[in-house]
Amino acid sequence: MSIALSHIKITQEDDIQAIIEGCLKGNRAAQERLYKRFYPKMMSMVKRYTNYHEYHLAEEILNNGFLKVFQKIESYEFKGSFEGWVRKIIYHSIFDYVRKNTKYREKMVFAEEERDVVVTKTAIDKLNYDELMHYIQDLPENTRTVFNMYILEGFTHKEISEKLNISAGTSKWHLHEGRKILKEKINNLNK
Amino acid sequence: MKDNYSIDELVRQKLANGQEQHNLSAWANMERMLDGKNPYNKPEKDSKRRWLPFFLLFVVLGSGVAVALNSYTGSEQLPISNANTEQAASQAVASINNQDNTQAADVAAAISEPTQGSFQAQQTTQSNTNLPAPTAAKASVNNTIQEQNKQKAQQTNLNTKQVANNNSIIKNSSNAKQATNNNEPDNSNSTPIAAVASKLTSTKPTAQKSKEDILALSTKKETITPTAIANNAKMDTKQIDITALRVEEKIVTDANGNKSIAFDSTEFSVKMNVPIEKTNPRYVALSKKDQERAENKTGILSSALENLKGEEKIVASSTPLPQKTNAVVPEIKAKADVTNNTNEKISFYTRFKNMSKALYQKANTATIKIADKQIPIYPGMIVGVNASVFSKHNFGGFQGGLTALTPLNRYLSISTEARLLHKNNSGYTVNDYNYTIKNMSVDSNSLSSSKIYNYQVDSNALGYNFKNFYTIQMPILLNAHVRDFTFYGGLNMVYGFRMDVRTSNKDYVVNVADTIATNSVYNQRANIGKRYTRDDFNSRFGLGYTVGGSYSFNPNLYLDLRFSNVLWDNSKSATKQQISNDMFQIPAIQFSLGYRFRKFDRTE
Repeated sequence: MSIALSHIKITQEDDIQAIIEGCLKGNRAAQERLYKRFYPKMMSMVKRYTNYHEYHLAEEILNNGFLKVFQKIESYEFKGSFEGWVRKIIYHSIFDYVRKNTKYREKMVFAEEERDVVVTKTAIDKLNYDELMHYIQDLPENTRTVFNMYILEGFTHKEISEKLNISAGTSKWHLHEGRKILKEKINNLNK
Repeated sequence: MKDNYSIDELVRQKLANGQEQHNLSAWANMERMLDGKNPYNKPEKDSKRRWLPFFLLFVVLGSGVAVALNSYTGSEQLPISNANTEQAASQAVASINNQDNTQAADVAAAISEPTQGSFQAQQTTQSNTNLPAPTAAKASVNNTIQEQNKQKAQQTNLNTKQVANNNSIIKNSSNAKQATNNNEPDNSNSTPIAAVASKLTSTKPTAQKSKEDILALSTKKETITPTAIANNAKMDTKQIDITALRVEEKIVTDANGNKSIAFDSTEFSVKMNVPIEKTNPRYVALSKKDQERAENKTGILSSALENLKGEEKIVASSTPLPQKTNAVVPEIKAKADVTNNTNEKISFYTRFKNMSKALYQKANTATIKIADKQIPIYPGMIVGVNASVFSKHNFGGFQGGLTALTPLNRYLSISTEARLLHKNNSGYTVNDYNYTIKNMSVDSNSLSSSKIYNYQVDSNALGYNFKNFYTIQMPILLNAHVRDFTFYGGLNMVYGFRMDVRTSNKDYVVNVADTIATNSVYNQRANIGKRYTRDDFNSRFGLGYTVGGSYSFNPNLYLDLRFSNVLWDNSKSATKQQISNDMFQIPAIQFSLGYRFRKFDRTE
């Protein structure tokens, strides 16, 4: 079994190698394979930063990111995960959009509001991927960005404040606001 | 097992490795991008700025109108044909008065004794002597001889007779003085002669005039101001012709030796300078017909005047009728004809200009009556930009409207406005989610102590969006004026027009499974219907407040900055109220440039 899995793993790596080499040559088929291979995960990441009704916008951001991937693929040095490299470029594409289209107002957060928000197991059980994605997309734009960067991308408030040119307090406020809204919606789902 | 989970963990667990389904169109668009084409229609970023050209156009047009109206300030008035007629007549009269002054001396010399007779003519001289205004009795004289005037209008010899009878007038006037001493027709002491004369003479007892009075009148150089006019200000005069009647009394003895009195009446024209009561507020401009009649009281047709020769002079005036007099009446007619003809040819621009002039003059003189006082109104217009503040969405745009200010005293005034505000939507969208459960099944066998409720949920997301919306604001403000600054505050009434919303729809099917312990109480999922409707975006009326200030560059132009907010509106449903909270009842600032048609100078 482990031999079969390792075989699969080697095959996948060879596959990636072949795709990259094909993209370096400008092979459209290789580009298509690369695009379709990473589309599901990357699109999931992009959708988290866009509104529910802005599907075309999410696709545009994703395709802009993939365009950069194809343009800069020769700079990939085969060090580290290729998926991580693609994810990084797609994330920059997301962040370019966020920087251009969002404006932040400074907020104040009290220390008591910084603690995590909890939901019940029952609520979690009822919740599936699509619904949660829907709730994330329905957050206010600025809150959604901070929430994603902190929860899913793992940035600290300091890093978020530097990237978005806001204060750490504002970042904390948006995170708290995002948690509060999600909790309310998830609990409403339970009713 | 844990009962509570961190929401952070939940999100990471569910979404970190989430994957979306393929979309065929995505790769197609990607191919186009790889081919150098952009398949995505860029959102019109200029939509936010699309209002800018319209705003600039509005500012330019408004400034042009303001400048055009401002150029009509002050002295220019609508033409009045009567005024020009009077002016021409005055000029004609002036030319008469400036003729040979020696003739005046001759006439004065002739009036050397108190006159007798039934009628004393008041003769004009060639100097600037102005006799008193015609009295009521003289008007009655004219009325009684109206019919005779019509018949004798063509008698050009009248003037000759008048000159010849000049001396007899003087002699007969003394008799009239004796006979009409009291000027009472029913005076027991009056003779029939006196009774007739009393009807013909003025109410002023002419018989009381002494020789000195007549000489004084005849030689007086300065203008005599009629006592009927209250103010003593210098007034323009015009010369009119009055037909006077001279009655000669004769004692006739018949064959039987009975004596009777016979009267021989002759007409003559008297020129009199009559003040034109231009400053008299009771003065009413005559119609053209009446003007002609007033200026031609002699009854002599203008055609007859045209035939007058130099030697045919009116007795009271030894100068010939000026040609200009003849021209006065034709000029009036000619001018009227020109005006009438011109009206037919007036272009739209000229008519618009005249209408604007008239409106501007009305605006400059508009008043409102409060407690029997006429208080001036200062109308104006404003144009500017606005932006919402302290809200999660930015609704910015521009506004324009009309204003009216009424001063209460030097420091306070009340103003009202009607402003139309255009606001752009920068991303506010109303999302309405609804779920319909299509299938539901319960699985009691898979787990020993739990049941699994499986749902197939038909989910729909309906989004309402709009590009812009309009409101009308009608504030009533109390203003406090401090030098060039004005500070104000007051009630603001706002009407929001119906929003033109567009909807976007997305349907998707979700499979949901609820795992519930057998002993637990479980409420099955229910459908969630749509909350919002298009009616929630209908018009609404609200009340709020406005505070602000302005700075006046001059009595007409000022800059205005204000803060306004709507506190209440007439939304009934919860969804409509939610929309009001998000976009109607939000504070906003407005920055405007204002122009008052009428100069607002607090020193007035």
